[in-house]
Amino acid sequence: MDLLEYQAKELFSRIGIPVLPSQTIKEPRELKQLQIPYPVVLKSQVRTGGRGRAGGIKFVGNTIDAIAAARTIFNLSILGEYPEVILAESQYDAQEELFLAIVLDYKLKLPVLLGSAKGGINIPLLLDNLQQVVVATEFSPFYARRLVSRMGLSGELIQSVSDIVVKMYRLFQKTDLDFVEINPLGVNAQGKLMALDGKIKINSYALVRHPEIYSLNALTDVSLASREQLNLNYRSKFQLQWQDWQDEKGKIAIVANNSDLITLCWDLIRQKKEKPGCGVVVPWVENIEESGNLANWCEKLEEALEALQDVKRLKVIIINVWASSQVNEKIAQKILEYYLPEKEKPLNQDDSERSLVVNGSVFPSQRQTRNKSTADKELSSGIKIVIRLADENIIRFSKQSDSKLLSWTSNLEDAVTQAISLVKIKN
Amino acid sequence: MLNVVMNWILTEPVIIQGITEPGVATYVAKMKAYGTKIIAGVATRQQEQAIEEIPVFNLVEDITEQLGEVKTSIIFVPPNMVLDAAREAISSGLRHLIIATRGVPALDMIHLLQEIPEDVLILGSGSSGIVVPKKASLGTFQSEHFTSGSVGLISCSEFLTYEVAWELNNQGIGQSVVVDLGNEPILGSNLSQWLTFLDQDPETEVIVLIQQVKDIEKFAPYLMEAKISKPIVTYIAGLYTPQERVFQEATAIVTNYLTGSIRAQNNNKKILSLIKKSGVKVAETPSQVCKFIVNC
Repeated sequence: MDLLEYQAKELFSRIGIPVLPSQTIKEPRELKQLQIPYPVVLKSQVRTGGRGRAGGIKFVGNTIDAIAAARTIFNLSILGEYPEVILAESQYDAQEELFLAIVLDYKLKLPVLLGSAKGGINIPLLLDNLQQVVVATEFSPFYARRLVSRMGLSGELIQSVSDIVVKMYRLFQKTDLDFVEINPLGVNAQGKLMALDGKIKINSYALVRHPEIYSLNALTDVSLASREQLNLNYRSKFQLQWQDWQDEKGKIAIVANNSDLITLCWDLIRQKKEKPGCGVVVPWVENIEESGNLANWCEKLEEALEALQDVKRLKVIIINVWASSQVNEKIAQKILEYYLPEKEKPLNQDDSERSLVVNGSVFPSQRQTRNKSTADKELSSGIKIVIRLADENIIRFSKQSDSKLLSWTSNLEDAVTQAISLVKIKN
Repeated sequence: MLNVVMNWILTEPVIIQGITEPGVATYVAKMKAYGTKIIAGVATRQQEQAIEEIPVFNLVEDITEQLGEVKTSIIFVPPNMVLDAAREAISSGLRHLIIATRGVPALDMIHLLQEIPEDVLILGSGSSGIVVPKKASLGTFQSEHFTSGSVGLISCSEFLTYEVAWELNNQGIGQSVVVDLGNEPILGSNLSQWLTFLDQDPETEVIVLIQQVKDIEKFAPYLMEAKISKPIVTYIAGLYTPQERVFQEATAIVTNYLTGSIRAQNNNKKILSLIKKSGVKVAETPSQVCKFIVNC
């Protein structure tokens, strides 16, 4: 999870990294109660980069100018993101600007300290001067001094900048960060340091054990944090995951229970010179056989199929699900139920009647009504469905329906070949 | 370097840490039915005598004291308790840990890898485990999709493993060992350890590595430098799929973040040709894996 600048600064200040006096503004008129003396700088609080160039940072000398500038910033989107908060901050007369960061290196499986004596917005210059120190053992302050020395700093700065790096490392470790950066770390004429801008990315797996993050002073982020937390929560593991890659000309959609299966299917379609359109994962959960889990999963599958119905260009949907044979059976029944109108429905009537009695209802349940209307829509939309289940006896499902709508196979390459030939049939 | 995988007899008895966590009983029942010798479980929170007739203890130490030496643990505890569970197992003398839990905080894995003794091997985190077809299933793999034979599978993807095994089974080609390295940024054991293991394994005749295109930069050096006498086939998924490049190294991560994007240089072709030159067969579909194996 990425924190906003003012939240990062709050964490900096808690651990003793110097930041300027500042105040968050949620509406321009709050500037009338500004506690910081002018001149101040107003900064749009967005997660995307490049806000300076886009006009998201303004220097102002009095309340009237400040309110006008705040209005502009609130209405300015930075790569599609509008700020919910503006940070009003004192100005700082930096003579030098440094860059400091700590990042997890996945190749080395170790944290790495990074620093550049040329911080700020000149990125090529910053990168040309980038130095790194790998933290290969338990962290100790000498690692920080090593970095600062490699950056070419001298005199008082060696100790004072090292101290900042040590504090950044503590924060990194204590709060389970993936990434922490100060850019720039301003140095004024007296050699005093100030973290002028910062970025913090918290490891989302670890978020659950950092309640202090929720207390960070902001509405937007509490909701963001809890949303991320929800993602770790059992129930929301069922959320559909639409793959980023899409092809607007593609006529085949892929539905699977894991994203790797979508990748595989996409490959196979492309290898046969056809274009896939989109892919959606109905995420598998552990212990799908346990009561409730499979029913929830099937509901999400329906949701995915329903949504694909509205994609006009589609001609075929490939459904590829890996499960045990008992689960295959239930999923196949679900697909049959969803696509085939009542009269063709292969489920034995006893079952549905029994459930009606159990429900104590004499009316057709809502679900059945919905099925029927969906099925009609399905037929008229003309989208064909190819279902691949890794089941040796898959033929039993085709026997249950003589529909032209559905075809069943246990071989994925077969499924792809069938889908492509269905695309090529002219309506 | 000491290859700690070598000492691992996969059919030896195991314990389950986190045996009372939700859903774990189902996995335990399946493993047991498959023939895995699960001698005990550990649970810190609930007091239950047994799960699936397997005795439950409070500490790993209690198991080793009362039931004798055991070397392998499969860890199912919640993500933020994995580090502690692994430390406990190691301090009680266990040497092979399979972390089935997904979503372990990266810094916890880093700490764990920094402090483990040389003779400890960690598989995962986020590993579906190991299957020795017809003999033992250690972890969460749907083991019914495998048949016994002489092809060793190393993978980072549970579902791609099933796809490859399905094609192999259809051609009557069974598997000797199936291992999932895990699908998380920081992993305990690396590819070269398992390549060597399968190279020495008397049951294995051919080794298949199942990988995704986003990992080829990571795996290529191991494939090229491995001194393996058995034929290797690698199936790479995603060669035809648009994928975001994943940066591994600190400077690349920072550069990418500061500049918006590193000039998207696609090295895949170059890497692929290097892999092929080193004698490894590259399959672009699961069925191609079979063709290469038949020709081996």
